[in-house]
Amino acid sequence: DDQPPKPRPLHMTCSLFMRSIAPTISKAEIVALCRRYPGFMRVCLSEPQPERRRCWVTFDRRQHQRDLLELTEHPSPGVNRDLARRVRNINGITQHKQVLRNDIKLSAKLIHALDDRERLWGRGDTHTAELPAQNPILKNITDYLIEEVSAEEEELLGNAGGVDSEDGNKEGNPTEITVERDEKLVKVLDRLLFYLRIVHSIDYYNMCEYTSEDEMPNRCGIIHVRGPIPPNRITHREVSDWEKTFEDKLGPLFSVKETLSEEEALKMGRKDPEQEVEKFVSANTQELGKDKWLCPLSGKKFKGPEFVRKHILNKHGDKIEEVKKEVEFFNNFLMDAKRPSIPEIKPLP
Amino acid sequence: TESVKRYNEYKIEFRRQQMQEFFLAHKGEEWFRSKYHPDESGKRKADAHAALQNRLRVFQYLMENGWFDNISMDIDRAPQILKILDAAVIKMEGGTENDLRILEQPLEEE
Repeated sequence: DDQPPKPRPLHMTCSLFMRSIAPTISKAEIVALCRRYPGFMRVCLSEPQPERRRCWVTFDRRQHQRDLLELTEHPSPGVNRDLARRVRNINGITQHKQVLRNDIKLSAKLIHALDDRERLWGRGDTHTAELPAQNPILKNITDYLIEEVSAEEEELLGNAGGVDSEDGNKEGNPTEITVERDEKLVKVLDRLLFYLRIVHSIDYYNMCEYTSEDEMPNRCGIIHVRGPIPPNRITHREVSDWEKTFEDKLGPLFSVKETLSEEEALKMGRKDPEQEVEKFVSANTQELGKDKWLCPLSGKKFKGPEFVRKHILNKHGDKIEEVKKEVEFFNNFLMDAKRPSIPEIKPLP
Repeated sequence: TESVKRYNEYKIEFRRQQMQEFFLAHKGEEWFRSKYHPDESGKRKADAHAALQNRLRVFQYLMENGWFDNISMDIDRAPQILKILDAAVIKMEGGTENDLRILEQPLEEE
């Protein structure tokens, strides 16, 4: 028959939550354990903080939750509840056109920074040749940032510098304004905000990022939106205070992965690959007696240290590579300014 | 002064030592290797990038199919916004046009 197949409720999952998984357990082990249960989808592990990780195991909703409770022999999983109130509102001052315009500016900046960091668009990279070099939703965005005013008309009618001008935020200016919404700006802004929310997992109006959302039970869970228009008139001061606070709180989302400066890296003891290879060679050049040198890697004997050296470099290239990788491994950790560590003991006041 | 300088040196040395101890304690663990080891971090980065590109494709699909056309991010549109989030998830999971129809059907609770 030509009936289309029954649509699948792929947006509905059910999941288990485990409060404490030791860092020594690998994701693969948890996957192997859970894969035996029908409807298994994915595992998400948080970063250790400091010695335990939280873990979410996601299953297809069509698999009944009760079957999953068999898993209880393992670190006390609980059934993870569905998200309540997925759409939440914030202050309706965000509907005001000046705030809308400021939010277009900020969210466009944020998209620029994140697209750049993740190399999401072309930029000459052949692997992503199917994508244009620039994000199309940012095209002509600056047009909307320019304020359109009827300054000439007002001048002619003798109203210049009237209370309508948006820069009326002078010290002590108590002017109250009505929240004015501009549908054109709303449309442009919302496209940017949906992009941030869906692609980068950034909930703009909540000023936060949902890390590893793609691995979590809800791949696009909560969103914050504009609340109803405030019942009372607002002041210019309120508008500018709102914008300032918002911009400050948004700041951390811009941060690219921070690395140490050259000077700090040296202070902290960044290793030099060549030096470490030298150390490895000399540690494996053992003098047994006069004109008798041993390479413990192979057990071969040589007449002088220079022969052992040559031998190690020629015959044990894989070990040398391993040393270099270990150096890179260590340096990558060292260079990460936000590297995990045991929590600092707070100094006494 | 000399004592401040020495104290600063002590602090750096202390941090350095702690960092080295942390490295030795965790270098064998998967989460740590996938973050920093040259062989394993590449795979993690590639996975994360692929996931992001999948989400980008979902956004483009929703945009091209008019999902954002008559919607605004206002609280009185909450049900419609929720529907967009669910549609996004269905597409992220590889759902088809047909699967999206489930959002039009009344919810059947098991």
